[in-house]
Amino acid sequence: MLYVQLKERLFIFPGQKIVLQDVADVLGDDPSKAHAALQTEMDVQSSEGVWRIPAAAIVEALLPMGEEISLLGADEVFIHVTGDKKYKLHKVRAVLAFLILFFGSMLAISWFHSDVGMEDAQRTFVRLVSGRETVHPALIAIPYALGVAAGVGGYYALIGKRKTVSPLDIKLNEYRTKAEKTAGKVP
Amino acid sequence: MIAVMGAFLGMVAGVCAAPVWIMLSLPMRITDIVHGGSMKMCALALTAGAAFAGMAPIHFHGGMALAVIGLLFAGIFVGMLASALTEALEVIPVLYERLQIASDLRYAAVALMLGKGIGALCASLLI
Repeated sequence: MLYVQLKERLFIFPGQKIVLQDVADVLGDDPSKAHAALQTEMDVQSSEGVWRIPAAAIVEALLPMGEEISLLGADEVFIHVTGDKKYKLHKVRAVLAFLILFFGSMLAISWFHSDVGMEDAQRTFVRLVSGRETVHPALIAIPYALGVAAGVGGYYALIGKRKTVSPLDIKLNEYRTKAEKTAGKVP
Repeated sequence: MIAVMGAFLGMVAGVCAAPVWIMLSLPMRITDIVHGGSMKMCALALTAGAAFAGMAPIHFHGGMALAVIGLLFAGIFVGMLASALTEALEVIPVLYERLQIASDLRYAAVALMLGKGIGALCASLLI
């Protein structure tokens, strides 16, 4: 008996050869057979894109071993084939994305401020809490801006020792899963 | 009569405001970050804050230090609110995935933190 559990996804270069070990974990009553099964070569497309290996293809590859196969968990695994030219300009794209988000969020927050009338709201807040009518703008702006930075940092789990998962990672995972389901082709 | 009408107007405003925090999963995210508190406590805090702000025509003389601390916490809330709104649009993970730099997703959060912090400073200081 061989127990096969598929992995979620795999990133490879075009033309890279993969074995069953790369896409699945295999356990067996006979460890040597399981070990041999892990070295089974898998067919994979060499052109760029997202490819799907259905569980049936893995069962088909393992059938010649004559063992009973039990499949655990996911019924397909996705192979992302990406060319190495994409890795060369990685830093440039990372800087580009950083600048878009940095200046974009600067603009967005001041847009949000004028949209919701934040200036009046802050003055009302200070008057409500301290009772003072006039205060230096810096006395309002500095603690508030520090708070905004701390809030964003806290939300994305940048601040604090006890790490929680960032909502960005959750969204990325959701997006990848949806994209794979839509774009994944059987080779 | 006017007091009763006022109470109902307040209820309408409250009922409209409350679902926004829930839709953005803000209380859930905060309890996740601080590893404590409960939904009940979050509800109490949001209710008390909204009720306190509703008293705006009255002045409390809590001193400037209290106002500064209050603004710091208000800023944290706005920062989280803005982040939660951004998250709802799902733009950033898609941008990073399309540019094939998803391994650097952490720096997206750094860019947002700096941008929003500096943006908030400029917006409150220069207007």
